[in-house]
Amino acid sequence: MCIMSKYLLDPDFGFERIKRLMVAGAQWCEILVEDVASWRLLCDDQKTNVESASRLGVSVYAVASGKSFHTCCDGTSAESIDGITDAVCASLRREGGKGGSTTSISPHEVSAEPVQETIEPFDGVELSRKLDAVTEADSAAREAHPKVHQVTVVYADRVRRAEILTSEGRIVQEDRSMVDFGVRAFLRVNGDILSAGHSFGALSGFESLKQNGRRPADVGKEAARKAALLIDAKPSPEGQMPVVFAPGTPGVLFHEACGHSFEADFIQKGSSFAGKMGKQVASDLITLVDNGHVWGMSGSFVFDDEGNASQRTVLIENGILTNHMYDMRTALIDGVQSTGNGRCESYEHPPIPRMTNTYVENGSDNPDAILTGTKNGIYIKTIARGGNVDVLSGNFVVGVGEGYVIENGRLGAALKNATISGNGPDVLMNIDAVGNDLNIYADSGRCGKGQSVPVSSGVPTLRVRKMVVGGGR
Amino acid sequence: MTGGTGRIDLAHVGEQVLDLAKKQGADQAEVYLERSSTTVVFVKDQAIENLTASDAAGIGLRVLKGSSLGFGSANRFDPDSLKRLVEDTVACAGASSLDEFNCFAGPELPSADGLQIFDERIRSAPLDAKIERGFLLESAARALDARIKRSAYIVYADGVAEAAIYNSLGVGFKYSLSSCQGVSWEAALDGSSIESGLSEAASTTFDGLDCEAIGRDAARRAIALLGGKQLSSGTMHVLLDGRAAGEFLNFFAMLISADNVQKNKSMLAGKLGTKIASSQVTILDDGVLPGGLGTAPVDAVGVPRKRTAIVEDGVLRAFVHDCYTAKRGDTRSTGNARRHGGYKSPPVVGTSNLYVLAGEASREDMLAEAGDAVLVTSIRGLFAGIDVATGDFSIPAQGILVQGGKLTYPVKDFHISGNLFKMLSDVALVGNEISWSGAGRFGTPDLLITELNIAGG
Repeated sequence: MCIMSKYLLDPDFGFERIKRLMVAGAQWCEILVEDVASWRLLCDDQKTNVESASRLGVSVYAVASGKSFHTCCDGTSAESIDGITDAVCASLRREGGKGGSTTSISPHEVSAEPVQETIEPFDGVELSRKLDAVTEADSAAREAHPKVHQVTVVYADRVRRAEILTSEGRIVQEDRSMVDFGVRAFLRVNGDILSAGHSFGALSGFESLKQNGRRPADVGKEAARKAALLIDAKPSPEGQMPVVFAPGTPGVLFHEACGHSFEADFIQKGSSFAGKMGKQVASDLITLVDNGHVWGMSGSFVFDDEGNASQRTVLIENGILTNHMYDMRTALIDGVQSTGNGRCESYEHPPIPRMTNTYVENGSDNPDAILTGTKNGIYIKTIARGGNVDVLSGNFVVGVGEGYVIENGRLGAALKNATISGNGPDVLMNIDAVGNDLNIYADSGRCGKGQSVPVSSGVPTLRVRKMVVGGGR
Repeated sequence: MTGGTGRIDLAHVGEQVLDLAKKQGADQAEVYLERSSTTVVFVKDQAIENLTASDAAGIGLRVLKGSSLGFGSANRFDPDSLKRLVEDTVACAGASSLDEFNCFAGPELPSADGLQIFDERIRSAPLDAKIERGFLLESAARALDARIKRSAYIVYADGVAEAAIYNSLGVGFKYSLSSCQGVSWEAALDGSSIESGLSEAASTTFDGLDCEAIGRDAARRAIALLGGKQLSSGTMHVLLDGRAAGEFLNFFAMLISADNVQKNKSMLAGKLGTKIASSQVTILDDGVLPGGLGTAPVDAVGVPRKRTAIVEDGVLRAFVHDCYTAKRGDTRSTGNARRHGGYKSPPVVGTSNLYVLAGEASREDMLAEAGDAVLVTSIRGLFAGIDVATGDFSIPAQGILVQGGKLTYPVKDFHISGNLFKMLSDVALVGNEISWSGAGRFGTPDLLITELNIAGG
């Protein structure tokens, strides 16, 4: 074993392996050690089951000539780490990377501003308090509406210590502590089962469950409120129409319409925004940012999984495409710096370019005026059921959670089962109003791109002049 | 490659952990062990984009204290780690609710043989041959037509795994599995028109996967959509391509989980014995389908897998059960316990190989029968566009217009909308060839639907 008190992995041991990888032809490489302990409580049908998990593993990852090589092992034994280092060295030699510098590495610890605080660490919280939280949410959802007949509550906490050694000599350590809390309420009305959920995810300790709106009862009530809205909800109007997006989760629009297409691996494959750097790609009202350094957000971190500090990256500035989201591999291909977007689900996966917290900066329009100035259309308060995009054509679809019809500038009936879809590049050009009420929602959402990572998104109130609405019957 | 895990004696660890659990106060215990080797090759422009090759092993433990259930998982097998796993899991059980339906499987030997779920060649094939397969997924597409110029996602992946399940009621079973799969997501460009095509296939044997065919299918799908025209709104016959139909089956799988039914979360609750689809439609969950990607001798808790008719000639006959739902519903488990994340996940009810039984109609027969129709080859984001309460859906689709039984030109920018069960009742013909999707776990032939609403652009 090579565990020391301060380090998960003895740096001398680690850098010795990093040197081997560089000699074998790596342009850049890292060793990541991950130690995770997590607890999950699932309350379903008023019965709670408790689960725990513990994982310790190491990944070795190297980049050469646009290619990347990854392998991993469970635990931190010297024998295993040597085994996976040799495997990556063999790949590097076979694939003829010509990085191959043998220059000495000067190890140095790197630190950066934190993105969270942990007042009540999860390992110090009695299991009974976590149980109380799910029970409280379950009861609150059931009491909130007489037709609630089933409730599911999920509480999950996770403490992750990561240590990264890179071929630049960086030693990075980060402790991340996160919580997800979600409730889904089911109503039975005239034989139909209606359901809706509400959740949040945050980098914090147990204390965030005491904050306004995040108390278990608040989350439970909100889920029941959203589900109850569906009782009198009407089918959505269909076809092309103006769509107004409320602050918060509707920011998922940008995640799907253009976010994925701005990830450097997809840009390099010819995504729908490839070759447009410096050109206008959106209405000049739009400044779109990906920022991994927003306090307490689930998509935040101090260092990405390649040891680069998270940063605020301006993707679109006043409508002009200004940057992409890079990991080390794609940055080396384009000869630029990583933007700190190299993320992996765990040591079992290679880092790839991923979004973090993606949001539109405030504009100058009055949010109320945006709504009252919209004669007919739909208003989207929350996103649900996810979305998806074809990054090559730019076509995407997003499911609407809480939505309303807009009639003469006022909110009318709640909508059920609406979707919005369109072509990313077209939709961005069609934004004609941006409010000054930005909200980035601390989401429990996960983005799937072969691997699942936590992300958040946000927008101020904004309007797309016309886009395709579906879901009517 | 990584040493360590290959030497672990799974049966010995199983015994050790069951013993420890008992000493720590568990009334019953169940150990699931898994050891795997995987290779994943991402390809871009006939070169490796990423190569990941790794070995992993882990343990998932469930314990019962009285009727309270705890679950814990870990990826290390040293004595300290196992001790901590057992302690944490027993603590979990101590905090979980009483639930009289919690139970483990009793010993029952699987009878099925000839499952064809392990091929040594997937382990032994040289890495170069695997990388070559990744390249083929892309080169076959580009060779088919010069207009195939971009690829979003080209990946070849394979794995072999050894799984073992032991419990304190005497279940003890170990088996090996293998699989390989290819995904090709290509784009065709012609002037300002860009369309993409996605194709995938999976097999339990190395030779059962044809990466060239996957690449060509992706290319054909993309090319066929180039230059698409608008479609006018109205009601039309729809020929739903097997791959597009597979997405509906993926949604349907959620509705037939006995867990969702018993907890009143599925709209199929109370519908057993009623007609929910056209007489043409038979849907099976077959956990012993030879060569199936969801096939295994036993399910995730050790109950022999079997074949269950879910829908027979349009009538809903059964839901899929695990031990918990079987006890709660006073019936027998259908062997449908699944661990979605392997050893990291507790078992839940899930389908194995879920498929619509093939009919007799060829694509040509179906086109002829359809006359004037639209062939839908791709739908986008079904889960975003379907109402879980009612099955009402409205989703963006693309395809080819059919006139007089002949394919004419591509159509785009339209939604198909309807109701899942109305659609199943309107199935006029079922194709004679099953397309498998969802990593090979969902199979559907082409379906000719007598009418669906089309909302044009």
